[in-house]
Parts: sequence; C-alpha cells; structure tokens
Amino acid sequence: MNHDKENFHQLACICDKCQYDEASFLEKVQFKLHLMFCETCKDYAAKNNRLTTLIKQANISCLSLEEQKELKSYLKDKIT
Amino acid sequence: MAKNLYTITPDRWVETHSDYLFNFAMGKVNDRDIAKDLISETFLAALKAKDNFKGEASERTWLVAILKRKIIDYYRKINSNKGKAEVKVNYFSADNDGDWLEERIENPDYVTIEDNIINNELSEAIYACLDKINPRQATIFKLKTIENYDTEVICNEYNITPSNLWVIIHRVRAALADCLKEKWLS
Ligand SMILES: [Zn+2]
Repeated sequence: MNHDKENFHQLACICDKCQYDEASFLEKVQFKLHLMFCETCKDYAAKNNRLTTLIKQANISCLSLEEQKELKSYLKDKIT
Repeated sequence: MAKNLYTITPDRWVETHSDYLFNFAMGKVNDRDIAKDLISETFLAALKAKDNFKGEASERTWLVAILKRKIIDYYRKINSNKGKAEVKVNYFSADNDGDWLEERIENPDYVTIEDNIINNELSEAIYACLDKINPRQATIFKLKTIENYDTEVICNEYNITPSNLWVIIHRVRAALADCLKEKWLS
C-alpha cells in the first residue's frame, strides 16, 4: 500500500503507542488491519519491536523527574 | 596544540550529564541510592576542582573520570569495611580508554558478567545516540521509555499535549533506530 508521509507518520505514532501499550482499542484494530496490506508499516513495526527489545535488554537507568530536581537543587546550593 | 577547547558549565550538568553518569554508575554499583550519592559526590568534587579543568578533554570525559574515582573509592571502602581487601581489576568495560573497576573477587558468575558487559556496551551505545538528540526530547523519551512515566505526568511537566509527546517519542525512536542500525539492529 502506498501512503503519503503524513499518513505514514500517523500510523507510525500508533505503532509507537502500541510499544508502550497506550494505543486505544480502535487504533490497535485500525493498525492491525493496515498491517495486513502495508509492507512499509509492517517493516516499521518489526523494527520498532526490535528497538523495544533492545532497549529492554540494555537495562538502561536514568533519573526520575524528582531525582533530577533534587540533584539540580543540590548543585545549585553548592554553586552559590 | 589545541588548548582550552572545552569549557565547563556546572549549571547545565544535571541536564546534560546526570543521566549518563547515573547509568554508568548503576552499571557498576547496581544500587539506585548509592549511584545517586556517587553522582552528587562527583559533581561536588568537580565543582571544587573546576579551576583545574584544562579544557583539553570534554566536560563529559572529565566528569566520568571523577566518577570512576568515586566508584573505586566506594568499593575500597566496602572492602576495607568487610576486612577483606581482595579486589581485582576488571578490564571488561564498555569504553576502551583503560576503563577499569575494582570488583570483589568472590563473584565468579561469568555468565552474568558477560551479560553485563554486553548490556553495558549496549546502554553506552544507546546513550551515545541519545547524546546526539535535543536534550529535552531525549529526557522525555527516557522518562517515558525507561522510567515508564504516565503520558499525562510528562505532558504536565513539559507543558505539551499527548500528540506532541507521541511526535517526540516517534522522532527519538526513529533517530535511535537509525543510530543503532549498523551495530545493533541489523
Ligand atoms: Zn502503511
């Protein structure tokens, strides 16, 4: 299936939402149906799944919003 | 010889380096509170030593060097506290600039160690890719993807709409996939 850039972008965002389990029921159905006919999106979805797996596998750590704020105020205190 | 190529900006350290340093520390100590303490100590030591910063290496490299010292000190303290000074030097690390870490010898779980090496290498690669992205967007991505924040919380914090958020997530994922494709996603 051919679709324009904007349409693809919309579908790609649904695909991304699926990675976070945040797509609505309707979006999921719409996307799954679309995947049956569209190689571009199928390819994108497969890559997206691999990226999610890779990120999980990396076991990355980052600071939470609260921890960032704490650290910022700690540093601000020490700078002044 | 190029001198003073780099400058330091302490007021941007948290934004620019704290996640990277925290991830690095977590890879070595695997304890959130200890890792956070190590970052605070690193920033404090860096502030005290900032006049010695020659600008020949990047701010990141300089901060990582200080953090590595802090991690070593931490393990030294643990080992001396336990009355066991048995330490070994572990050369298996993500970067190749002679990175090393003293580690207690009574942990010969090689499978785990090997897994950790790959994971460290991968997380380093992911962070290297994220460094090329707009820091605000990278942080939003990390909060959503790594810290599993609710969309609503991030939107409130950054004053964006959910559709803005998904556009950002899409951009970062696309950039990340592109950056990782050769080595990790092929
Ligand atoms: Zn499609």
